Amino acid sequence: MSTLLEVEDLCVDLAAPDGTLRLVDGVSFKVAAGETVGLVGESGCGKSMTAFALLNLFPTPRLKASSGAIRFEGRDLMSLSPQAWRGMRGARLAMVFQDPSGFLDPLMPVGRQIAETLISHGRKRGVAERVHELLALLEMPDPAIVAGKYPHELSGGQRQRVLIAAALAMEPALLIADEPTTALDVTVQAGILEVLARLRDRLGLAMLLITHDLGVVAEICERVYVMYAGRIVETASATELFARPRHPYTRGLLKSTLPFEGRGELFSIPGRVPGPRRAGSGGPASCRFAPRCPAAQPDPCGLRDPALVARQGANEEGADACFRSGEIAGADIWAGSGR
Amino acid sequence: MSAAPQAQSRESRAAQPDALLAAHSVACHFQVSAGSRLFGRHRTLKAVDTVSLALTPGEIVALVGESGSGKSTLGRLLLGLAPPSAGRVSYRGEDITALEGEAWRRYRREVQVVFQDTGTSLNPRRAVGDAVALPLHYNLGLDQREAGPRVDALLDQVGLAPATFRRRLPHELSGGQRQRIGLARALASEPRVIIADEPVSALDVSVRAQMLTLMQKLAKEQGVALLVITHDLGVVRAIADRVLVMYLGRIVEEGESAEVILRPRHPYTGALLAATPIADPARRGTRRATALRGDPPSVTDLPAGCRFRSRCPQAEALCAEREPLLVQVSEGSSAACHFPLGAGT
Amino acid sequence: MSVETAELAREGLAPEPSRTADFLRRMSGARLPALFVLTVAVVAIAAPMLTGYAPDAGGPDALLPPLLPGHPLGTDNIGRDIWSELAYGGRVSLTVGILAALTALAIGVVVGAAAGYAGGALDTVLMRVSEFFQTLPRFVLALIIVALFGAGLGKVILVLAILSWPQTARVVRASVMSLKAAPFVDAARIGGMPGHAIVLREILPNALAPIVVVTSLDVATAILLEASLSFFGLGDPNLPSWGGMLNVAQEYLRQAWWMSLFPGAAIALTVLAFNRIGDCLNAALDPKRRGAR
Repeated sequence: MSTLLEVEDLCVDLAAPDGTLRLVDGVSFKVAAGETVGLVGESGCGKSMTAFALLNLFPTPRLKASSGAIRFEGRDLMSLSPQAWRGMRGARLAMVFQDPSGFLDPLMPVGRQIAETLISHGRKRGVAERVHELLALLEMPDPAIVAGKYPHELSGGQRQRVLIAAALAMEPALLIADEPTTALDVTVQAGILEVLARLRDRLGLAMLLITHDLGVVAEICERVYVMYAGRIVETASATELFARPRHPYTRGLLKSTLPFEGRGELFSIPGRVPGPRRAGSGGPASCRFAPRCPAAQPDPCGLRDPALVARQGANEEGADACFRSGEIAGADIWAGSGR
Repeated sequence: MSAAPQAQSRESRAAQPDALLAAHSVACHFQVSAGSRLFGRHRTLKAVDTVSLALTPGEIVALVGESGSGKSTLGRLLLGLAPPSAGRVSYRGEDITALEGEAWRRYRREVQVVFQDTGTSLNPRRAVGDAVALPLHYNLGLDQREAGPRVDALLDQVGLAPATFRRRLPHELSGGQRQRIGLARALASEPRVIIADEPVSALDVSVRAQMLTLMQKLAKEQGVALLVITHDLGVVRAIADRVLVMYLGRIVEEGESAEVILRPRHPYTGALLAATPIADPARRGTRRATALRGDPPSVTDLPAGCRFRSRCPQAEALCAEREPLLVQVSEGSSAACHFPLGAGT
Repeated sequence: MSVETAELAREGLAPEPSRTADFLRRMSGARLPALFVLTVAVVAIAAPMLTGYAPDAGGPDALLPPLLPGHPLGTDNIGRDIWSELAYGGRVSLTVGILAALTALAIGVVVGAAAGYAGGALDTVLMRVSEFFQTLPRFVLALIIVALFGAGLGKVILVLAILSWPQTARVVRASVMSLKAAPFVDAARIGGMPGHAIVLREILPNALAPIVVVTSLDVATAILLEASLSFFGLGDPNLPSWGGMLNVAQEYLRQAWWMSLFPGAAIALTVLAFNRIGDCLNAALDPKRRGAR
């Protein structure tokens, strides 16, 4: 499979009154054509900033992608002019966000809003048919009727489907979804995830799903990247990651989930996520997870910052950023801590 | 067994002597007008439609539902923030609308709440230490001097260093920290009942257990009765003893949490379980069987018969004729369905 | 302390700024307008020492343009010194503007908060009363008051306050009604706080922004309204005011531009100054801006 999106050493900085903070600290990942990749992390890990960087849609001018490369279909996105970006966004590369209500004009019927996407990218004829086609693709009943409705006449799940339809209007190769179902009820979420999975199969759509919900990742992602404190700390195929997590943070995260079968113990990772470091200070001098890590040792964890290292193995294609991941693979490192 | 005695035995559970806070067939109706005020039709929105429940000391009860289920409205009724349109809410056996003087003050003290949205449940102009001290002043009658050390103790109890956090404003804290302040505030009055509305949904997964453990301790070690309102079945399974599932204002299933989750009887409960993603790719697609169709009907225009039938994968003719009552269907659970799942097992 | 609280203390949030110093820093945008208002006030108070003529003393030199010896800003149609009128006039304009606005504020807040919080019958009654006052024609009202109580500065302030309070009441009522439903108000109720305390300490402090805006606008309106009242002799006939000067200047707009320019500029700048102070106050009082620049 060819690589559609390649991000290399991306850094996103925030200009704060007392210095520049590095929110995303050298993140690299790839999405191949037709692949569904998950980028998972909790608050403060930098995943939303990464999403903004991919489309150059930062909410404030104080944020910017300060270094690294983003290559999409071979083109370097960071050197694009604003006009070129406009041509790119929504056409080859599209995005849906968390809260559908904020992205729909309350004064316009939804069909027209989808049509606007088409028209602004130069499509002149057959717009109405295409709108109906898209709504049907998203499995909306009576697309012609839905197209005439205003956003407030639709439910949350329907609004999100409208947004996805608008995102897919120009048949992009990659759909980036930032917490697309977090604001929705769980039964509605299941419907949206199913529709996304079917779209992936029908259209060969590649997806980058950014979320904090491990369950969602397990449902539809093929490969996963785990982010912590602005870095990627582990990546593997979904089955491998959930079955055999390597990085202590990933292991802790999976241990914190609450399954139905009940497990009898409630676990949480002690401590707090560290705040972002200052840009230009030469990088952290130790592993960023070490203060909270039960397997951390003064040497090397306290002395050097681990890089993402690929695992060598027969069937494996994963990597993790932990000096000791091989050593501790068999041990239950979190036993007894984290209450 | 016929339906009527079971319905009664549930109602009588609400009347049992050690029930602290109970709802007796409460309803909460809102009048909404479609069209103009004078000439439009008036519809009744039944946010809560005949619900009974009881909270006993040391028990953790979960109230599960999605948006529009009425769970938050039910919470408000139990907290005395809104009067019921029908039925009554009782505290220690007495109707709360009839409480006066010391009895009312006692209710106010002993029944507390943790709100869902910490952004709006803390006064943006008040330091969080003051927010925690408020109930100490008003519910417990402490003065400035006495309240200080108590506030510090409460902040410590929820894991926030008093010196660092006492004088902060809410927007300076993270969502998780605010949630803990909300809990500290609820604990200030030394409550016997706490109603927690989505207490962990705003928290990161890796820290949810801290809050949940704290709540468990409150119930098991201090005998506090806890009502946890949530949409997350994982949370229910982790800490709840009993669970009530609500749909469009009614309870459609209730019972011991382990029983209801492992062997759901109502199709809606089944659908909720099927829809909840599991963090295990190996089990992808194993639970599709009970997927729901369509969207919930309009709350002002409920269909005749069972209100769930428009989305139910196994609806039959009977479902359109008669609304099913909540009846016991197994040792540990009751469901309101003419054709409960796994009937006969 | 648990492990976690120790770590939190070490990690720390941003250092806490001193509240007063921070407030003053954020009000720094209001320095210039505040200085201006202060200057007007000082000039008004010290007017006898700063001017050579009595403000109402006519003289032989009528319609003199400015920059002539003795009359730096010129004279009006009956020879009154413009500079004297301007200086003394500041007294009336500032006093009337501020006092009328503050009185309207007091009445408006009480009525608006009561109506907004209580709702129901009290709300309906109070709103009908405020509508009545809003529809009063100002001159009829002034006439009635003057007829009953005589003319004078106090009566002018009273009339202006009566005309302005309904707007403040409406704004306060709207804020109170929307804040009443806020979860933190429910939380205060569950914490045992009684109704009146909730309004005073939870709701009103959060309703400040629109109140500040409306009040600073009221100052402007009051100064201008006083002008029209003076025209009909319903103001205080003995005291000079900028508005009064403007009314006299109307007929001489083309011949004696200085008669309207100076009082007009004085009113405009004062109004602008109060607006600016109001804006800065709003920004400074916003709790979310604390610590930010």
